[in-house]
Amino acid sequence: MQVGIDLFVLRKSWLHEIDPRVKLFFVAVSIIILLVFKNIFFMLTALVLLHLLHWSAKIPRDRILFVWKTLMPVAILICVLWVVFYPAGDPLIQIWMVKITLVSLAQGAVLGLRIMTMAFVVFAWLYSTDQPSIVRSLVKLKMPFEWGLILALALRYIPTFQGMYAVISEAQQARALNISEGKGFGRVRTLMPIFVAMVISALRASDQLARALEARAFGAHGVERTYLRDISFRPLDWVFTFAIFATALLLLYLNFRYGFGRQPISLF
Amino acid sequence: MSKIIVVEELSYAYPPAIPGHDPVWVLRGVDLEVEEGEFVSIMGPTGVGKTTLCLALNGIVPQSTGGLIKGRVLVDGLDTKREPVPQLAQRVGVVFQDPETQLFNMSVEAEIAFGLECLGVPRDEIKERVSWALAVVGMTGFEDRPPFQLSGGQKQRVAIASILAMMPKILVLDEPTANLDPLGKAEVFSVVRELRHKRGMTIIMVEHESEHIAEFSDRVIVLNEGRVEMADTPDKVFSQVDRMREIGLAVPQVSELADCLNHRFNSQLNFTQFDEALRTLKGQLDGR
Repeated sequence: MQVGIDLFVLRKSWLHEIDPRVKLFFVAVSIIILLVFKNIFFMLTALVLLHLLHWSAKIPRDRILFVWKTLMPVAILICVLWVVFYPAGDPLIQIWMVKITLVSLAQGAVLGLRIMTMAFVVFAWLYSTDQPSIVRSLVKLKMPFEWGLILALALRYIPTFQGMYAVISEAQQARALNISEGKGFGRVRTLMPIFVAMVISALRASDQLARALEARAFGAHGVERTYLRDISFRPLDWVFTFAIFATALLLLYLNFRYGFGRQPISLF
Repeated sequence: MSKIIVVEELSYAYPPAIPGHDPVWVLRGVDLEVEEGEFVSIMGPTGVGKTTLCLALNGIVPQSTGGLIKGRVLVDGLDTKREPVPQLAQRVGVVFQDPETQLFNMSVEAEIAFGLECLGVPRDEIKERVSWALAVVGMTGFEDRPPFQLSGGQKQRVAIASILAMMPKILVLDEPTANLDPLGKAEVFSVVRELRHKRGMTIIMVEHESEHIAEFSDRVIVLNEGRVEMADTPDKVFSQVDRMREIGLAVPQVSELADCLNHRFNSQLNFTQFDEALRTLKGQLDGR
């Protein structure tokens, strides 16, 4: 599956409709909760709920599989390393010096699942929010517009630089540059003619871009910037914000007061 | 008609590429006056300062580029050395050669709205102007398309629309068809034709396509070695076929034909457009 610069999936769903700031709040709160909770059943429940969230937002199955395929190796690696290097409790199996315990298995699984759940939280935001809305929401949250513009430009020019790399690479190969030659630093040296040309082209493009921005009155003094497509909080967005806040507050209260989700295997 | 652009003894040198080296003067005493509503084309070989002159009209030269400058440029009464570039952008809209580097938004609509948002134009008016500008360049219906997915001609039309939406008094087109295929060129020239004949804007166009220059221009300026070498109506400029050839510039094919016939038959023919040539030659043949 090809995933381009824009992870956004154009669909009509409740998740697409809500204000990007609410989704950003959901991401921030979810990450805190996922870092605080250490229980395998809590993580599994969260993972199932996040899949339901993606399904209800009409995110295609291949996009969900993309997250699994991309992060599964990392999650498994973290899980294995934890099990091997942090044994706790009575060993279930012992192979030479490696003790595998039920607790370390559960802890390793929690860490692996935490990577996956966090990824699904972030991807729920990215799949349901287009780039202009992401930038607008950050600017609304008091990020300077210039920073937002830099972010938007960085995202916008990824395909341009991809195309530039392809053209330069082909041009250098046409002049007998073997780009598959060498390993490690040798390979870096081989690719140097492409990188140098890329840097020069990028500098030229940035110079022209700066002129184009100025030609569009960017930085006009004494003018309050307006927005054609602005974002605004609707009553439903407040409901979602309150629901996220209340749920997070309840979970954190249960965790701190009653130890809910603090142990890797038992819930309390 | 009043003079909307006055360039007096303009000389300019970019900062030297290697610090300490002598600056190279790109423009060397350019004098130019443009009337309101006039269509002026600028021709010249590569490196004679055509783009520099365009950038001097909206203040990017010297305000952003630095370098050395002598003389002055007045646009709508404003000195482009002093007036900030964003303020000048409301009067002079510049469309650059490469559409790729001047389209930086994720949708066509956002692209055209960008300049208006920078100017603080109210939202309803932005909507109206975006629709209007898209209609002028024949791109209605492309609002939600990402600019990088458009063809070269479409990109350049969006670039023109994004400038037109700001409603500048002067439109500067710096080789708008240089990077385009024949179809893209045709698309851009159809927009220029629309602006020329229906809108009556003041337009400065740097271009090499002499047939189109002959079709659109009230005046042709030929820049050579940083100076204005010729500044006259297209038929007078293109009748100097030998000199244009020496400079390395092409004249319309029918002007070359007229020149050949003048040499062969010692006649005084002068035409720059095909219809005009056909009419004149038909008249000559009928008269025999």
